[in-house]
Amino acid sequence: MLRRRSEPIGDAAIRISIAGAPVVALRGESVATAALAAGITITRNAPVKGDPRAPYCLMGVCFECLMTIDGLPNRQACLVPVQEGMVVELQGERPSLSVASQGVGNDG
Amino acid sequence: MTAESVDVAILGAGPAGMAAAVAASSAGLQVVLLDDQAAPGGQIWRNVEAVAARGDLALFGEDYAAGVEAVAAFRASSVDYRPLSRIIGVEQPEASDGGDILYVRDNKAARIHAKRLIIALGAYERPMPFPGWTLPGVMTAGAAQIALKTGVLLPERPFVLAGQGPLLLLLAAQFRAAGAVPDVLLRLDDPNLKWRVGKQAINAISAFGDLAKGLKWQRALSSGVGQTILNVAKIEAVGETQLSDVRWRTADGGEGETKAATLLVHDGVIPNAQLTRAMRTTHRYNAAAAAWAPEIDPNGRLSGNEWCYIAGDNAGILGWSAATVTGANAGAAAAASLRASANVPGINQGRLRRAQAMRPLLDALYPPARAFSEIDDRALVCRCESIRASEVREALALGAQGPNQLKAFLRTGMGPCQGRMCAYTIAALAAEVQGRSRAEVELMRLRMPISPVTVAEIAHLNETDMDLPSA
Repeated sequence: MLRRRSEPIGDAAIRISIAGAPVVALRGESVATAALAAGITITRNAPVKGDPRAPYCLMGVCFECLMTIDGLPNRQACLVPVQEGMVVELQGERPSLSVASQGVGNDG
Repeated sequence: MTAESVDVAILGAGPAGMAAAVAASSAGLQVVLLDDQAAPGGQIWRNVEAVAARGDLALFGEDYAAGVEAVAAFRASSVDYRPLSRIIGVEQPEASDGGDILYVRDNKAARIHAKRLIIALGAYERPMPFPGWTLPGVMTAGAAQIALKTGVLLPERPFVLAGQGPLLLLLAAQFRAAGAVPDVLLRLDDPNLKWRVGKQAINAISAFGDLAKGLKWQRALSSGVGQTILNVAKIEAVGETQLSDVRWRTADGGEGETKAATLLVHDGVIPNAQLTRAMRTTHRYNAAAAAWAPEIDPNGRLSGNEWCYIAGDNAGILGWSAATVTGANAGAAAAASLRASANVPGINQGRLRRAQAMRPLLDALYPPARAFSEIDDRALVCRCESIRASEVREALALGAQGPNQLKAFLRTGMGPCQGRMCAYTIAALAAEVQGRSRAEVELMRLRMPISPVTVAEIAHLNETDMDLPSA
């Protein structure tokens, strides 16, 4: 979809991880563009029907770029600047209910 | 805990918000500015400081370069600038001593009390639904421009650019300067329109500089493009899990298809009125611009509201140059309303008049594309809830009264984007099925919070002003 004109080097390079893989991002860019630059074309599956999606507006309007960033789900990745050591997970079609089910103690 | 209190709160760090902040702070007021981006400039001047530092200003043209000076003036002011702040709502005053703004920063909600509020949240690209527009590989042209400004990213080839509007011409010129020439350009504007707009063209003569700029972009647009298709009425993105092909049909029945790795679309811009709509202030439909905007008085004050001003494209699309004037006007008016002795700086109103002279011509030349006017049944109109135009038409035929009742039928507009991507489309479909005009079908009702917020974030509000029952 999009490719980097030149790779970030020196102080401009920010190392993060996306979906378990190391990614070199550009200082000042968002997590969403870092994912696109890394060649990740499908950044989530829509929760209702599971169809593949990717960032659409990159300005906080469309909510297509939702990702789990440093453990917090459903963050708008286009509004989050990359930071050294950031851990980003992509979201599948069904949001995980593991935390909630642990909380209510469903023994049945 | 008492909420923080300031003279003026400004929402948005684009041309209007920054100009308002400079005007109000130079009049001696205490000003806080909240913005959701990491750096000032808004969308037009997105990342302009960093782009200037890396020597890439020339790619984006003189309008973008104008942002360097505006951002520097803003940085030099006494404004308390808070980037990466997400607005979740406002609480309006019962008396005239101001109101509260609620926002989230660093995953914590916070409240600011302000005597005056200036809303300058700008505009966004009109969502144009077509079959396949949710496929990875498809994005707005504005999004690709942001990716170029912030991440130095270019569209992969084969690269198809489709749409209409003056901004499309600018974006094409910028991509070209950066080395990404569209392989196929699909023009969704009506080529016959230009012969019918003589009157507006005469009125626009006073904005001669803008006209010349437009003609320059127009020439740049077609040069070097692999193939240009005029008079396109419908487009479709095709692919299994990502874009592989783009199909089109012209108004006179011609059809075509091409391989594509990237499809960028653009159908003009609309005011970002999400906050004022949630505030339930009066909004008017501007038929020429095909857009809703909050009703304001000549000073930019929100109709029927003592404490709130709207500036820039948030109040109706006029462009960045006019936004610097309406922003400064709002900042000065807010200052004057608080302090009769406020030393209000002089404001060059000529830029605003030129923009107003130019706008009727642009509105006449670039109405929303026919792809928006004749929405394909297969298009997912509500991206969040994955609902097709055909489902919306069926629900309307079954008797759904309009956008608000469609929420109960289909959940349209009830996902995380809160109707930002579908409100206009849903209203257009209701108007079509019910035989009403666009002005007669109001956009779906919004409620605060205007962006999703977690309980953990809200918990940081630490409210002590709630009326708790006494023991």
